Amino acid sequence: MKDIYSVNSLKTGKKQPEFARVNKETKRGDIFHALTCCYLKGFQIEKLESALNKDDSTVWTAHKNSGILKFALSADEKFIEYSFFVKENNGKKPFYLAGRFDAVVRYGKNYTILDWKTRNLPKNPKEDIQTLVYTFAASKLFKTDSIEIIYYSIEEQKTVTVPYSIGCVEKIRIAVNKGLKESLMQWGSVSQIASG
Amino acid sequence: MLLYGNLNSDKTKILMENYARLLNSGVSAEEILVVVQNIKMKEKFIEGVKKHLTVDALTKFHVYSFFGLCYNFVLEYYPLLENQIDFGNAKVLPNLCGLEVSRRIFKSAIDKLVFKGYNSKVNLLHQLLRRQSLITLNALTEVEIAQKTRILSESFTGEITDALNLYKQKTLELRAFDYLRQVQLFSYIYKNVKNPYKYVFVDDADEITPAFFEYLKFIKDDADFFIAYDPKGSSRKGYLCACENNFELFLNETPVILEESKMADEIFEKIRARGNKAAEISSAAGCFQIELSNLTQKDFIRSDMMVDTVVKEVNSLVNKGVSPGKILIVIPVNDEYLKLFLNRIEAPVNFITGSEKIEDNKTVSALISILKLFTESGNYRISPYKLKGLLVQIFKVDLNTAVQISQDFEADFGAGNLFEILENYKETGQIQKFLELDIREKPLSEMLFALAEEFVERNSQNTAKINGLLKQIRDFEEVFEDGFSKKELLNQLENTIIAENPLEDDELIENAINISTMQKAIDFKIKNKYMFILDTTSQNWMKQDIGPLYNAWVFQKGWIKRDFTLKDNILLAHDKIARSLRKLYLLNEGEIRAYSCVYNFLGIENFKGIKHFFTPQIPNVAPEFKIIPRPDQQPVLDYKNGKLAVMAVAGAGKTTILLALIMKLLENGVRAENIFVLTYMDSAARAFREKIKTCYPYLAELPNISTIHGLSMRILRENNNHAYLGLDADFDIIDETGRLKIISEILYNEGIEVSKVNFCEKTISAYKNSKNKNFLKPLFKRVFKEYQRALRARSLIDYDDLLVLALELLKQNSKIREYYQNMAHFIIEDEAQDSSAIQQELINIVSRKSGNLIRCGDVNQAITGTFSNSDTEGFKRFIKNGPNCKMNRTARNSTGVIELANRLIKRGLELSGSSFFEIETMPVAGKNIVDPAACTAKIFDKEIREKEFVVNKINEIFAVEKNVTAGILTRTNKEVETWAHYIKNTAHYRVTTKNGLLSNNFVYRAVLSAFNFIANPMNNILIADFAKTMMELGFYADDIQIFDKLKKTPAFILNNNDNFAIWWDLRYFLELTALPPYELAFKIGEFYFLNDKKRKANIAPVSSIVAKIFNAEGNFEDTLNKMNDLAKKSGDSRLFEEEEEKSNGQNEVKILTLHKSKGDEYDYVFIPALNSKNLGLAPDDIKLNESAKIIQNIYNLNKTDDELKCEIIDENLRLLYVGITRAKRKLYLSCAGEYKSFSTMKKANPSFAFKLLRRDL
Repeated sequence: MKDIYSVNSLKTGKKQPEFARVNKETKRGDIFHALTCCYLKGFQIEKLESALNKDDSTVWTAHKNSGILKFALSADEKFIEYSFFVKENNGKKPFYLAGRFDAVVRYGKNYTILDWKTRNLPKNPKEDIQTLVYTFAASKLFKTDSIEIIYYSIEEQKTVTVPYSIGCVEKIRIAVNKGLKESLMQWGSVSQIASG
Repeated sequence: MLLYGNLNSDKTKILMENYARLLNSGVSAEEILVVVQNIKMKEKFIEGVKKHLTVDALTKFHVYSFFGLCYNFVLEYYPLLENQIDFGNAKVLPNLCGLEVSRRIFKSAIDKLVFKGYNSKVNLLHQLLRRQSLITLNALTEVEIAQKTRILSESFTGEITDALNLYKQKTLELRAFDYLRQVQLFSYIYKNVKNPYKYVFVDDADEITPAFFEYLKFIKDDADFFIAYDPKGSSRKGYLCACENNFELFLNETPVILEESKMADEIFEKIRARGNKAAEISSAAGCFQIELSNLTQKDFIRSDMMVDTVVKEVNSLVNKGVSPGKILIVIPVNDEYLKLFLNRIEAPVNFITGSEKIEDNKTVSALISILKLFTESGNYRISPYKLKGLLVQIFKVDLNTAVQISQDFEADFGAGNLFEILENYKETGQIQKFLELDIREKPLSEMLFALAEEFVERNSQNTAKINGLLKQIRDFEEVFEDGFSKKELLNQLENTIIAENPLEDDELIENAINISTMQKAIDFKIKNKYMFILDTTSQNWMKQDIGPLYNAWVFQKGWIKRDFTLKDNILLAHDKIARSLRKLYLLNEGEIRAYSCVYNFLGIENFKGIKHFFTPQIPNVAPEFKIIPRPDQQPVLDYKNGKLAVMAVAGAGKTTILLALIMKLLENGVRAENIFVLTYMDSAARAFREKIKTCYPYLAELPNISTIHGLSMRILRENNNHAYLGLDADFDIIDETGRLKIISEILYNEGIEVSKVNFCEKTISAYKNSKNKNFLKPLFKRVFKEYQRALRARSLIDYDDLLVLALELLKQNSKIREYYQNMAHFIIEDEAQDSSAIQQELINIVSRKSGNLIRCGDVNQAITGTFSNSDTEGFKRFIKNGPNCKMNRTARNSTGVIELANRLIKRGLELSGSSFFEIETMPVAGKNIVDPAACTAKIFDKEIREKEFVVNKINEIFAVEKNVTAGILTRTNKEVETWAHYIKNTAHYRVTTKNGLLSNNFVYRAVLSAFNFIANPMNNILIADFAKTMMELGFYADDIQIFDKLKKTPAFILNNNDNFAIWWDLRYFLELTALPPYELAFKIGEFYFLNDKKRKANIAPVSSIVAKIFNAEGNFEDTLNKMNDLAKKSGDSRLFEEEEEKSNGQNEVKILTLHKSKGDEYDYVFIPALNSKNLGLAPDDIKLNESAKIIQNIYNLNKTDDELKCEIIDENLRLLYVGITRAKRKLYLSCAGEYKSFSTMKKANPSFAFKLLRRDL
């Protein structure tokens, strides 16, 4: 499935296999994500919460009571851990973008993508490939231009908001092209090794 | 929608179109579930759907394998589960882990429980996991499990339930769920949440398990179904738990019937029909055979010959422009050696074999060793062999430095801090980088990650394997936190199969030749134009999975019978292979080439398999075998039925006539599978098989030719009969060294002198063979029980058990007994005089129904040891009590030799009435050399005079004659060595010894010699040894100056000596130490013997000997020690005869023991050292030892000392008879007045034989 791209594959630019890095930090991020998601879905989470250590528990409680979660909870409609699979053309050739929103909420005609970060927010959110892909995908999926993405730092309780911009699709195409080139080069070398 | 179609039909395409149609019409992808067979099919499905999509934005495809569906459900609904578990520590996320965690949980459960009658803990763990798998995938209820347990009448039901409950409890407590537990949780979840799916698509619904079908049933009323089903599919029946389902009834719908294949369905029907016949225990031979127009069959004797042809043909196809991806090679089982041989294919190759041991990937294996260095620091003694390998492979250290480092490391033995040593070599390779890694305090997974990032090349193979390993380790860290030993974990990981192979789709090379097991080829639907099916006579094609704790058939959800019989097993096994072969056939779009061989790579004979399902291609060539029988041989060929004893004198042509009889039976229409031939030695069985195969190459099955132990092994293995004895499927026969080791340990623990080990071994054997089941002494009883317990714990049996257990099965299980009785229309036994009482009982039972039993032998050549278990009296009774014929003529010996042999029998009978069977050997008119003076007897004063006499005589003969062989027959193996040494130093003709020692095998010697060097590369003496050995084997003739060079150049291998081929080759081997030793052994064997037609056959068997030792010893160095020991022991029967025929006109001396000479013949025979010690014929000559007496007691014979002595004398007489009758022309008997024994000279008296044989007496 070489024509399906994720934010990660576009970011690293190549489709080379990576060793799977997991450490305490990434694990912690997963836990906050999971809790947020369960909470928004309406599961009973007291038991899950009891699994947190003291520090995490403090962070979590603050997050749970934050405005952003209240905003999410009281939306007209919410899509939690919602995946997308979007087709786009690159010249004549189609390519696909795949990924998963942490959450998308709707107030009236306005859609907001919510993305939880454990700590660091994107440095250049407007140009961040995730912003481009997510807002573009949501616009296609929900058939609207009234889209924004909010990055939220759970630990620092900070937010960054970026609205959808029509030009994002061009930037995505450039990234895809770049990735294609690199992966082509890589495939060339693999087949060389194989036949040698 | 219900579609019926096979894998070539459009069923999947129709499903894709319908799925796309729903999506295009605006149905959310979240409302549609698609379940396909595996990840590969999932990707294919999504790829196919993409083409039909008109909408350009969708949410997630819910396309899953069944296990993927379960996994996602557990993740999605985890809070529901967590809220139900009221013990252990809560978790936000469950640990969805691999089987390694479960293994550890099971292990602690087993440690707490005692399984009565089930001793092998290694297998217990494995079997428990399998049972858990059967219970889960078949969605069995408590009641169903109890029913099945009753059917199987298991003695350890309670313990199994306890173990499974402990495991369940513990997984909940730890929130650690392997894929089977995920299936169980899934079935809880779907019953307790709202069904999210409005539409459900199932492709390959014939391969689904009951666990999945239960789910479909549960959501039946809430969803629309799109199901593609193959009514003759379900190839994953049995241990993979596929079930047939009536979807017409389930959906209340008439199926749309898509494309069918008549030929494929015929395969299905016919194999099943054969199964029916076989289950009725009537012969299915020749019935229902399948004729395929696109099938070519070829037959080979050895598997290396078969693979040579395959490699050649595949290479030629690729050279002709066939796309490699269109070639599929199907193998019966994941075979290491097949892989190694097939590496010679000159195109990219994928091995799709299902599973892989972690040690098989050398990068992963090296990384684990490094992790061990960190976690055990000073305590871990890394094998210097392994160290060299990883220095070169991982740290890119040059070979010389790698050798230096491991040398330093070895010298530092004890203190052994590798890190300190490495400090001295900072500047080489990537050592500095390694030493600077600050990971010692980190969790294991992070250590591994850091190492991989720094030192491992990223490619799809490495990354997939290492990520798999990372996941396993992280699972442990997550689940057990600090409560596990890193050392134990690393050991566990090293020893278990952790990875599916391939782990991920991108591990596979595109457009490469696929080499796959049958199941994987089917699962991945590997379409092909050229399909090679290898080893079609391997029994692994129809391997059945039943065993203690584990019976895939009875544990099927739909099992309704009240019992499980042999018949069920045969029917179901045929049903499964019928389904699989049908699917395999459908994958092919061109031609099929099916190749068989008589022996597999390890030298073990194949039997059964799938070849006999297909109509053989009979070549238009008449059999080559012709014989004109002599009148004394004629009665054997006239044999029609009933019992017949054939008493044949030495050289009467017994083997030839038996072969002729077998051929005649075959030509008269008797099916090969109905003929059983039993030989005393494996080599004889091989000779029979090869001759018959040469005459009838197309025979789907050869007659059943084996030793009695081979037959017993078959009885235990065939149809998984071993399960009735509570033996695991992987039971093995203990070898002699292993047996002695176990007994020594027991003796040591009991405080008994370990020197008694040989005596003890004999006693155990005698005890097992005797009917006397009263223990002699409490002490022996303890030793015996401990011995049996030790064997069982390792899932081993010994050679005596083999017979005893086979007999037990035949006696106790009427179905098994009938199975063999119905099959054995004719039994032909060779060397019947050496049969033990148990063997005779076994043969009697098997032949009872047909009554057709031919026993052939020579009572006068019964020399297998008075105190062995042979029972010559049994054969004598058989001769006496029924029809018999005497083959009393021989053309072999000259008249003088015949006269002497007859005289020996006559005088021997006068000396002892029980020594011989009275028979007079007659010459064949006009055939024998007439030479009244053929025999000479000489007595010398000194040993050296005797030796000179023999050598001078040989020189004299060889000076005038061409193309003759002289045999020197000795009493002991040690004498063989002494004579060989003496003659090689004084003469210059071809001298071969037949001592049966492993060191005589060329391949073994080459490997051993190279290994000795690798263990100690700086030692020039070992290089000289290597050079000498290899030159003896015919290599490196140009390197003769190396010996000089070795004397002058210390550390030869590290200096530049590139003018010697040996230097290059040894350095090449040295660089390969990243390989496991058995693979290196294979490479060395291949390096030297690949183009040697005969010796090539031993490359794989020798490598397998190394593998077996390595598996037991765990490291190269101990393996090597054991190999050096073994070299002095007798060889392995699986090794192929590699002796070269002497070229025409050449003279040769053969040196061997009298015992080993049986069956051979030489123009000139020398029997030296015939003194009273070597061949005592008077009571005073014989010294009885303690063990002889005790063993007699076991047999309850209570013989007096005089009687025992008499038996030894009898056998000595027969031994002499064997020796004498080897001589075609002349015979020389001699002895000397004194012999060297160790360093002193000892007086010796001539044997009484000299007097006994005097003509004038």
